[in-house]
Amino acid sequence: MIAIIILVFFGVLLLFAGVLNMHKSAMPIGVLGLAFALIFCFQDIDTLFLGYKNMFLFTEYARAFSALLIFSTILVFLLGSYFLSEDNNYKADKFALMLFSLSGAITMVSSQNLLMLFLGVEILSIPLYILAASQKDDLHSNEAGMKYFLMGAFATGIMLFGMALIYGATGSTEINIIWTKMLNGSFNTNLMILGTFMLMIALLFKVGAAPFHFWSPDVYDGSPTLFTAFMSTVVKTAGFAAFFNLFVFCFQNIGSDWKIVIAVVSAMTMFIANITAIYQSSFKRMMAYSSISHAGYLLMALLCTNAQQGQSALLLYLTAYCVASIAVFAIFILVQKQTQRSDFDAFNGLGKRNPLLAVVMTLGMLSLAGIPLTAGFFGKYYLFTVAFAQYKPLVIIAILNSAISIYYYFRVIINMWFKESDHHAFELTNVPLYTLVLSITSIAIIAIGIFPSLVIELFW
Amino acid sequence: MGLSEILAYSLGVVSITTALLVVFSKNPIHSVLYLILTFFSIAGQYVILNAQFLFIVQIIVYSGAIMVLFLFVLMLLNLSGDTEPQKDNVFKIISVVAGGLLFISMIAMLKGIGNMNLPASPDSQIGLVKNLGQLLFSKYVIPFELSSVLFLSGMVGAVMIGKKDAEDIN
Repeated sequence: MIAIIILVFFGVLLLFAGVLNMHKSAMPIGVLGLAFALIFCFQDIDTLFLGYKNMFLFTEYARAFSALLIFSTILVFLLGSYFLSEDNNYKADKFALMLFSLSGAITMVSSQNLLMLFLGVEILSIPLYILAASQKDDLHSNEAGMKYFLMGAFATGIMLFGMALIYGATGSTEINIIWTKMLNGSFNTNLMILGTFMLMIALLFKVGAAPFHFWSPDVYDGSPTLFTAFMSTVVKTAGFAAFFNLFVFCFQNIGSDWKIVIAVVSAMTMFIANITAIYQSSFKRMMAYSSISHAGYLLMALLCTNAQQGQSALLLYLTAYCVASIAVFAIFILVQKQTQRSDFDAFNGLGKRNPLLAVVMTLGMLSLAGIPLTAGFFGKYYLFTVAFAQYKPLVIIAILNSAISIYYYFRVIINMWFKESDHHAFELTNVPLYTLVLSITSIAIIAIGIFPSLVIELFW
Repeated sequence: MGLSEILAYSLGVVSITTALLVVFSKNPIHSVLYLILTFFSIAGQYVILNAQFLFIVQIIVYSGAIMVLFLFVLMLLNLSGDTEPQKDNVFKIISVVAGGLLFISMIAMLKGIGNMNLPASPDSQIGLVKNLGQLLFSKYVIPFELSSVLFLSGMVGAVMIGKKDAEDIN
């Protein structure tokens, strides 16, 4: 709770900075607030709010995912001041909206009540609809914002319907009470099943799993790239952490029906996303499909039999995914901003022009593909072991899909190292903050790739 | 059957009929007007449940503010039955199948609803403004305060997207 209060406070501070035209200092103020929030994630002064633990509890689980969310946002913020350097009107407001969105994400992760989960989802989403549409003169951005808003509003309606049905079935919105009632069997099965499925549909929409993924390529492609990076890391992390929190910790006892649905959705998501990604010519759209395919792998964490094991696998995978995505998006922002292109050919010959950038990009792509000695490999490895006990066919499908994904990830690597650059290509100028972000992410990718237990031991 | 039950059922019939008319009427303006009727009949249900605050909020916010907004937008866009885009048949079939599946599962759910464990004596005074306010500021104070962040970001967004940029003004 303290972390949320700090984030909202700094968000309001940034709004004032925007009013006073202090757009240059917006990013440092935001990073300062995020650093405070990160420190307070690890402090035990949340006893102040123990009276509200039926709403909200900062458990070890919530702590770990909040730390990951805040860390990713810091990296996105560091990329922000260069990306938004031409925006002199709303720069501070955009940073403020990202902070508000993050506070919603932390609410989702630590909610102990369906009401708080709903509020968290909304606080996460509403700033994102605005950020997606924030490039006002760009039609694609407008389309992205409008599409995201309409689809998101619809998903929210389904989610509320589901919550109302669960309330009708158990007589409470508190996750603890729902859990006890399910253990005792004192709930209305029919209402509960439909309620759970509606809630599941809404959450699957939020994480962008097939067949509820149709919005995400357009939204990810149309939004300004910085916010695409924010969406594909923070939103996905928050969505999956909340999904796991609710379904594994609470609905574990409702039977295994929902697990079969998740397994089918997971397999479908992997196939649809990976096969469509192969046919993309735009790098950004390929990354959108890649993020959908990662949602497919991540759904396997929900099929775990041991919650402890499942949450470790989820945390490790999400950390690896966030770090690699931010590295890739950082380089993509540099390429896109300086060459004004976003197709695969923009990367041609990058290995000769900017060898260091190309090395980090290669590292990021290898990690996303799950090649050994990078973070992504251990993420996938743990996730697959978790699901292997009961869902062997699904794991085989996932391995097959990882092989397919190598095709489109390696396409970038081949373009960078083995293709000649166009005659009018030039060397990209690097930005100091980007060097910082790229070094942090590449160290993290290698460190987690060699000592995967680091991440898990940090929290539990 | 008591008076309140008769009222509840007839209001239910009214709200379902008007809701169907919202969907089926060709003219968007008619749809909006039917929607106002739907909202009023739902507000009637709230009165029967003794939820006075919800009743008045339903009337003010939905039937008042939101409906006026809808009407304004429709009049500005000048929509009518013949300018409405026609959807192709594949789309129609998919929507009918999806909606039908949801409908079937709702019916299936309602079949076994008899054994609901409702609290024996629900607090009939809970919907009064005073009791609701006390609850909002005690048990539900965290969600109540947190929703302010939601509204704040909504307002920021409205200003950001709606305002003319400095370059445009010059």
